[in-house]
Amino acid sequence: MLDSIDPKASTPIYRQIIHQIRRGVAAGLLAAGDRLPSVRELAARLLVNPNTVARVYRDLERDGLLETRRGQGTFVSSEAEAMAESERCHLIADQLRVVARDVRAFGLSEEAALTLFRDALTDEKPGRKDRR
Amino acid sequence: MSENEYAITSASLTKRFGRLRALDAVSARVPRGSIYGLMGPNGAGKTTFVRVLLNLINPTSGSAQVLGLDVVRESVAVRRRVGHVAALQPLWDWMTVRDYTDFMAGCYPTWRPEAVSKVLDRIGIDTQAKLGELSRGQRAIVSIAVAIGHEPDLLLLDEALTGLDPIARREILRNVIDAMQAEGRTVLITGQDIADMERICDHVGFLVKGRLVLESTLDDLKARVKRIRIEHPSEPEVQIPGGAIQVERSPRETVFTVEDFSSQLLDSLDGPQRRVAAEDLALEDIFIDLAQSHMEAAR
Amino acid sequence: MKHVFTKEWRQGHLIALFGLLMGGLITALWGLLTIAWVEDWRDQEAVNGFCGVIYVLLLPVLAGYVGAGLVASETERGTLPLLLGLPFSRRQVWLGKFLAGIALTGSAVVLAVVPGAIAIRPAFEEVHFWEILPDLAFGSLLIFAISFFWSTRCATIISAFLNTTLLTIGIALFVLVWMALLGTLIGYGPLLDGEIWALAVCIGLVVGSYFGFSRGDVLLSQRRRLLPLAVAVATFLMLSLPIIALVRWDTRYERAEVVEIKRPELTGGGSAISLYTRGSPVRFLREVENKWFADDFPDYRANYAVCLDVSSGKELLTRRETRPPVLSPDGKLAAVLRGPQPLIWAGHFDSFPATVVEVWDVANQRLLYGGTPSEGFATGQGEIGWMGWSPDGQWIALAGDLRYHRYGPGIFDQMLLMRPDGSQARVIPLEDPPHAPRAWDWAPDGKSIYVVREDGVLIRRSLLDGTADTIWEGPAEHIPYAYRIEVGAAAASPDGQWIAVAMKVYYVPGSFRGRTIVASHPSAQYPKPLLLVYLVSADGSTSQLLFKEPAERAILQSDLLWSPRGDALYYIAGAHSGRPSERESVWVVAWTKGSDRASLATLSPSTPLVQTAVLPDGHLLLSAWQRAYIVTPKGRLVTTSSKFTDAFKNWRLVGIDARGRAIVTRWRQRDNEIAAMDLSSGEVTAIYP
Repeated sequence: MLDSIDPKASTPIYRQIIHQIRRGVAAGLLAAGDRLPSVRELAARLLVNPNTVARVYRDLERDGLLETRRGQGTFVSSEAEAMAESERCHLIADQLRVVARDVRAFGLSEEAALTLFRDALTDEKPGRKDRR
Repeated sequence: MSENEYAITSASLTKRFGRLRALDAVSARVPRGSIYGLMGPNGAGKTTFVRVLLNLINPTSGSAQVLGLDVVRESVAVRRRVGHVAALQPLWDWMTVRDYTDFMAGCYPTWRPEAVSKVLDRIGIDTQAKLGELSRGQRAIVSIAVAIGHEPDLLLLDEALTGLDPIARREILRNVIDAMQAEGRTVLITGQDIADMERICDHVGFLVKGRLVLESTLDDLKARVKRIRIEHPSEPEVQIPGGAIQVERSPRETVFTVEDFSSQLLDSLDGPQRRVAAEDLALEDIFIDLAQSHMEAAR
Repeated sequence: MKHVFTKEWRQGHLIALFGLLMGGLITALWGLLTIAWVEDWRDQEAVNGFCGVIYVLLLPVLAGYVGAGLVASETERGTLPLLLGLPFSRRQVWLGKFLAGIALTGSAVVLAVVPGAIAIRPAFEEVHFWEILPDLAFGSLLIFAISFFWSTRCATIISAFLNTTLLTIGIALFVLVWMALLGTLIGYGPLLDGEIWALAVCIGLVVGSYFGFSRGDVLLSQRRRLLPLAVAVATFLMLSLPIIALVRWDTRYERAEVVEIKRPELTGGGSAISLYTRGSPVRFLREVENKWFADDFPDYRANYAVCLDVSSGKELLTRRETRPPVLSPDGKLAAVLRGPQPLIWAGHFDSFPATVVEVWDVANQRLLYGGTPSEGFATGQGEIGWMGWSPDGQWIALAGDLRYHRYGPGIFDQMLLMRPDGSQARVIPLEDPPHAPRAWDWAPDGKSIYVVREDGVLIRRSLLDGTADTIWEGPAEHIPYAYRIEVGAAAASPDGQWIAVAMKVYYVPGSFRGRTIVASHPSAQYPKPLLLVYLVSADGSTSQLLFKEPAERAILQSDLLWSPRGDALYYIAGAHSGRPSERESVWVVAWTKGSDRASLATLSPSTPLVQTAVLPDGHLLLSAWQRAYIVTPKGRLVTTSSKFTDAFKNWRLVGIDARGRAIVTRWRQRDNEIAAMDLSSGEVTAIYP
C-alpha cells in the first residue's frame, strides 16, 4: 500500500492514491493516529508530482479522513475509524455499480445476477476459479 | 500576467532556420511551482524552445520571459537562476567529476555543495573518475546534480530521460521531485517518454511542427479528453458528436475520443439497449490522438 | 571569464607539450642528419637550413592548430551548449577562450623553440631565426586569429581539416625521421633527395587522410592515448640516436678503389701532385647506387680532388666535388676552388662555376678560410677562372673568366689578391687601358707582377699599391716597323733580375721603313712574321734580343721556361710549314747564360702534343707520344738511352718534382696511376694509388 502507482493505468494518479488511502482505511491497514509520509516523501517514493500528493491530502483532509497537525505532519484522523464502515460500503457500492451496468448491458436477469453474486461470495478461495 | 504568476511566458515566439519554422508563434505559459511537460514528436521544436529560453539561440521574432526577465536582454541573469540538463549532452570528458562540480561551483554564487554530494553519494559515483569514463546514466545523474546544485528557480530538462536505463531514470525523477520541495520552484520537462512525464507533470503542452496546439493542466486534460465506448448490439450505427476524433466503428460497437467530455454528453449518448461508458485515457493516448488529428488538420 | 580561461587552459595545456615534442623531433632530425650524412661544413649548412626552415614553419602551424581547436573542437564534441549555458555573457566566454588561445599559443611556441634554441643553434642562425622572430610571432598571431575566426564560422570543417593536417605533418615528419634512420642503417648517404622527401610526404598524407577521415573523431576524443604515444616516439628516437651513431661510424663515406685519374699537376713547388679521381661514395653500396641511377647517370661517380705528397703518395688533402687543391710554395697551405652549392650529383667536375675559395692548413686538416672573395670582382658573375699563389706564399691570386680580346683569347683583365686567411682582399688591374694584357708572370719576390701588353710593352705592377711602371717599350727598337704583335709568354728569372718575353711580330719590310703602317695598307697583306725572344732587365735598363727567326705559321705556346738556377732559358713553339704533306714540327729555342744568342732545335714528334719540363741540371725534357727528347741549353738534341725511351712509350710526363724525378702518368685514363721515373735509369716507381 502506498508504495507504487500504475502510471499506465487510465485512472488518474490522484485518484489512484486516494483509492489506496481509502482502501487502507477501509481495510484497517491505516488506523486512527497513523502518520502518513510527508508530501515530499510520498511524492519521492511514488515518483509523482508533489502537488498531486498535496491535493490528495488536502481533499482527504476536507473529507475528514486525514488531519494535519502543525509541525508534525499528516495523520489518519480519529474520525477515520468511524468512517471506516461507510468507507467500506462506498468501495463495495462503487464496484457493484460497475457490475450492475454490465448486467444490464448483457441483458442478464436479476435472479441470474444474484445467483452469480452468491456463488462469488462463497467462492472466495484463491486459485479455485480465475476471475478474469 | 505578473512576474510572480508564471515562470516562463512566451509571446508569439518564432524561430526560423532558413525556410524551416522550428517555432511558429508559440505563446506558452508555464505557471510557477508547476511541473510542466512539453511534449511533441521528433523535430517539433522542443529543444529549440529550451535553447531560446537560455539564449543559446536568438528568436527570429516574438519574445519570451523567464522569471520575469527577458531572455535576450537579460540572458545572463536568466541563466544564473536556471538549471539546464540536455539529452545526452556531451561533457568535458577530460574533467573528473570533482573538477566539474568545482568548476560549476565557481560559476554560480548560490552553489550548495551538500546538495550535490548528496545526489552523487546516493548513486555511488566516484568523484575522482573522469567524466569520459562514466556510463551514460551516471553522466546524466551528474548533470542533474550540477543543474540543481545552484538552487535554480527554474529547471529545464530537455529530454533528460531519453536513452537512460530505468535506474538512472528513477534517480533523475527522484532528484527532480526533491528539488521541487522549495517554494516556487518550477520544472519544464520535455521528452518522449510520456508515461514518465505523466507521473510528475501537472501541466502539459503539446508542440507539433513548431506550433503549440494545446496547453492545459493535466487534470483538466484528462477530464476533458476521454474515450467513449458505445456498445449497440441492436443498432447498426449510432450518431456520434461532431468533434469526435479517432473514430473506430465496428458492427456493434463504436469507440471514439472526445475533447470536451461532460456527463451530459454521456447521458445524451445513452439509450435503450446501449451501453455507454467513458474511459480515462492515458496521457500517451491523449497525446497520440490529439497530435495525429492536429497534424491532419494542418495538412 | 577567468573561470572559462582556467578551464580552457586546463583543457588545452597539452598543446604546449605537443609543441615541445615537435621541437624535439626536429632537433632529433637535425642530429640524425648531422651524424649520418654531413661530411663537411657545406653539408652542415644544408642540414641547418633545412631544419631551420621546418622549425620556422612549425610555429605558425601550432598557432593555427590552437586557434582552430579552441572553438572548433568544442563544437565538434557538442560541449558548446554546456559552455554557453553558463551564467556568463557571450562576450565573457569568447574573451576567456580568446585569451586562453593566446596563452596556449604563446606557451606552445615558446616550448617548441626551447629544444631548438638549446641544441641546434647553427640551424637557427642559418635561417636568421632570431632576426625574424618578431615577424614569426606576429605571423603566428595572425594565423591564430584567422583560424580562431574560421573555427567560429565553420567549426566542423576547420576542425577536421586542421586535425588531419597536423596529423599528416606529424606522420610525415615521423616517416621522414624513420627513413633517415633506415637510410643511415643501410648506409645510404644522400637522403635529402627530392624524391625521398616527396615519397615520405605522400605516405604521410595518405596515412593521415585515412586516419582523419575514417577515425578522426576517435583519435580526437582519446587524447589520453596520444600522450603516451608521443612519449614513446620521442623515447624511441632519442635512444636510437646513439645506436645509429655507433653503427654509422664505420660506414662513413669511403671511396671505392681509384677508378680514374685525371689532370694530374705538380704543385707546392714540386712537392705535391693534385689530381681528380673518381670513386663511389660508399664501397658496398655501388650496386644500390647503380640501381637508383643506372638510367640517368650511368657514369656517375663522386669526384674527389686529391692532393698527394709526391714522395710518399699519401693523400695530403681530399675534397669532394671541388677543383684540385693548389698548394702554397712551401706546401703548408692548400687553396681549393669549389662551386657555391654542395653538388651531390655533379656530372662533370668542371660543370659548376667556382665561386667559393677554401684555404686549408694541410698538416692539421683544418679549414683556415672559406668564402666568396670573387664578389670583389667588378665584372663578370664572380666566377673564378684561375687561382694561384704568389711565389713567396703570402698571397693567393684569383682571376675571373678569360676575356676575349680583339684578336683572340687574352688573359684576365683583373686579379683579386688576398691573404690566405681571406683578409686584405684587393683588386689588381692587369689591363692598362686602352691596351689589353697578353702575358704575365710573378716577380719572384712576390711584390709585383710583370704584364706584357698587346703592343709588346712590358709593365711592372706593384701588388702593394697597384701602381704600374713601364719597364720596356717593346720590340720597336729592333723592329721599328712592326705593326702587329702576338705575345706568346713572359717569364721572370728565378733570381728576379731578368724577364724573358717571347712574341711573334709582323712587319713590313722595304720602302716603308720609318713610317707607321696601317693594317689596311695593301702592303700589309704580305706581312713577314718573326719569332722573337727578348731578355729584359728587371729595372728596364737593358734589353737583349736573344732570338729572331722568320716563323711563318709558328704556333705560340706559353712554355717559356727557366732552369732552376736561372742559367738556361727555353721557349717551345709549334711550327707548320704550310704544306699538308709535311708534319708539324716543334721548335725549341734554347739559350744558355753568357751567350748573346739562343739556338734552335727542331723536333718532329709524331704528334705536336708535348709536355715539357726543365731538369735540375738545366736540360729540357720533352715528352711526346711514345717519345722523349732531351735538349741542352745550347740547343743540342741529346740522344737518350733506349731504356729511357722505352719507359716513355707507356708514360706521359707530368712534371719534375722537387727531388728531380720525373712524375709521369699513363696515357690512358682508366686504371691510371701516378709514378716517378728515375731519369738516369728509366726505372719507374709507382706512387699512387
